[in-house]
Amino acid sequence: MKVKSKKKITPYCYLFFSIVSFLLLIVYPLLYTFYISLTNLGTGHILNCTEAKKIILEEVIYPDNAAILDFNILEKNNAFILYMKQSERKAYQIFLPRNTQTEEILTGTQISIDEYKKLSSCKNTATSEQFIEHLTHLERTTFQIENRIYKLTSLTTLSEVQKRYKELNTSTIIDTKTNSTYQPDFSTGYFETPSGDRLLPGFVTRIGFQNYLNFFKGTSFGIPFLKIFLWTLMWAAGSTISAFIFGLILASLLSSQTIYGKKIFRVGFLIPYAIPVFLSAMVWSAIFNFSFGPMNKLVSYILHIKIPWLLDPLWAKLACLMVGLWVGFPYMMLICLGLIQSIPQDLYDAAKIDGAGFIHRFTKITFPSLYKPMLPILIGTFAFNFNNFNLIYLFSGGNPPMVDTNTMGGETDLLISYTYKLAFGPSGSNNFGLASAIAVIIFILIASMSIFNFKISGVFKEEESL
Amino acid sequence: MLNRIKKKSIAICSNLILLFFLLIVLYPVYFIMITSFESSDTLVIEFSVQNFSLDNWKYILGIDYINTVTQEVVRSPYPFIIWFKNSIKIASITAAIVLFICTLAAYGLYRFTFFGKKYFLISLIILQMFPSMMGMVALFLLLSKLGTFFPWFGLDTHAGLILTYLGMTPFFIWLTKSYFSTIPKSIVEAAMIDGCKEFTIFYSIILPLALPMLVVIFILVFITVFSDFVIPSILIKDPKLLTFAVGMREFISAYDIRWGKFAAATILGGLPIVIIFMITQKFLVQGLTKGSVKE
Repeated sequence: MKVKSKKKITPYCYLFFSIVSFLLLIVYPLLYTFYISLTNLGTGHILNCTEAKKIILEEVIYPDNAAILDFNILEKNNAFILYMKQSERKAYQIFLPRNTQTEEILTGTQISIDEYKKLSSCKNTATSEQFIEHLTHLERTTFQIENRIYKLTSLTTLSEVQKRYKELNTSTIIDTKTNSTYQPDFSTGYFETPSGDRLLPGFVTRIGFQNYLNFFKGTSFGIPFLKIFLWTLMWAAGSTISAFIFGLILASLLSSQTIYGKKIFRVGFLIPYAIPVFLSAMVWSAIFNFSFGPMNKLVSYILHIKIPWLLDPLWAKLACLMVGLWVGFPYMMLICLGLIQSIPQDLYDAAKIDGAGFIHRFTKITFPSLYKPMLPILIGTFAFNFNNFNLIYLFSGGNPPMVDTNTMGGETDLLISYTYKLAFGPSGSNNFGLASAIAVIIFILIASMSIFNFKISGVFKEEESL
Repeated sequence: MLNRIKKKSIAICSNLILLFFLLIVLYPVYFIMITSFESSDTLVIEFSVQNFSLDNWKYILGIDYINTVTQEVVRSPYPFIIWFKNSIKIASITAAIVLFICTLAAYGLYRFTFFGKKYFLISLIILQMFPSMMGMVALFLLLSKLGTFFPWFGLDTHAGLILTYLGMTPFFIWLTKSYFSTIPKSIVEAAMIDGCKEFTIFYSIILPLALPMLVVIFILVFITVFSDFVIPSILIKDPKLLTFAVGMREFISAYDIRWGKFAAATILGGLPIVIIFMITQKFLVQGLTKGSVKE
């Protein structure tokens, strides 16, 4: 009996936390990622237009006959001042450390500096450390002294600078040196002259479905998406099917009545499942190590050669599949064991009487009765392996690198690990926009696979009957 | 007679085959075990320990020992034990919170019909497929915003990390819900006739009945969080707050891999889950097959 709650609010009470966490942690990131995938966010395009303009306008050049001021840093009882003497009666000073303003307007006054000592840069390590620390703060500062702008140029001098760019109106910047004008181009995300010269940094702008087009065009970044995609499919299918077959063999062997020490076998075969993947992946990469790994020791003992596991694309892929098998089969074995136990024993007895052998019984009874309930699980595992980032990233790291292209992608990179490298990778050129677009595409692929899966297993039907 | 011999030989054969497979499957575990007790810091490719020593274990557990070559007292600069504790703490707290949220939600879905239920369920399971790692940019910004209001909740905190992990609840809501629906409705009806309040039914009837499933969910969440590498590596920077997985990765990439120590740390890291597995093996088989397989 389903309850139509009298108080309409009751079911929502039970669901409150799940709805909040769902919206906050799944829906919001999903929408945000979709939004990013429509922009060019990435290295060189982090700021928005106004922020980028502000940075550009701060750029300075040294005029030909720049004025130069000498300065000292003085110290008294751990109080510091930056001191510039101009004449006997006039000097400029700031007390250090300053708060983090980047512009300082100085007016000339005279204070008594009799008790202050000069802080030298090379007296001893303690003072030079203090000296350097003050300088790093001052480096970012521009000083305005009598209508001139100064910047730190050496350990002892400030020199006069001029701003290079001026703002003509809200959308135009003029270069005072060359008199060329720059305007923001919202399709490329740069301030550009009509002839296409660009100012750095660029800014974030919406570029529509450009990222998606780049993905499908494939080679526009020199990225062999197709290659990675095919390997991802191969890996997901291969590791799932091999794990299923091995798990099934073990399960049917284990469920025959003539096995001694079933419990030991069952626990033993479950151990790979119990070891966290991040650990087993790293252990396996040690085992496959070219010069020290036990795998090569064994191979060279038998065949007198060493196999370049993880160095050669083909062998690396094979190694990945082997590890995928090792990690994946216990789960399959567990499920198969459960399913085989649910097959009525009478069927087997009847078959035996009819003279069916072990193989016959397997192909005619066990396999057909496993096929239907296994299908959703196989698809689910396929989807999981499709995104099995942890294993690939920690086992091979996507290596070996692809030789014929200048990308960070490797031969064993899955789409997901490649996307990770694009977005968070150490290469120094992160392309969040493209990475997000690939993430959305992966999501659509996996989601449609799952919908298909639920259709097969009848999950939706069950909900419709409610 | 012949038949019996044939039967016997088949039995022996299948036993031998299983044994053979077991040895292959467990070789990596054995390999890492002997490497961890080896005194030299290289990979061991013999089949037994050559020079037995506990130095690697002392290094991992933060105990001083004397290096046999240089005669110096060595203490590990890596807080393995702290990382280990962090991981256990984060994984168990996350598992507890996920259990709390998903049992409540599953009960709500099991007992009531309400507006939008079907669509909520479907969107729950489908949007869940979004690779959580790719939402990290958004979650990163979310946490840094949260951190300005509640400092203990932001980036570089365990609370923030746990919050991000709660994104995995929808999957477990489904699992719990499908397990709940195997509980006969007559039990609930009897309780209602006896005048039980809604929450009492949930707390003292449904929850105890679903215990095997709850154990399985706890373990699954624990394993997922314990082995996760990506999310903490993006959110946590403070070395003292790192989780075991990220810490290990850092340890490995920082040095030109020291296998002995790595092996000892691996065993330490694998231990909690193996132990939990051994204890709850029965539940696991039950819960996994019942939760995932539709008859």
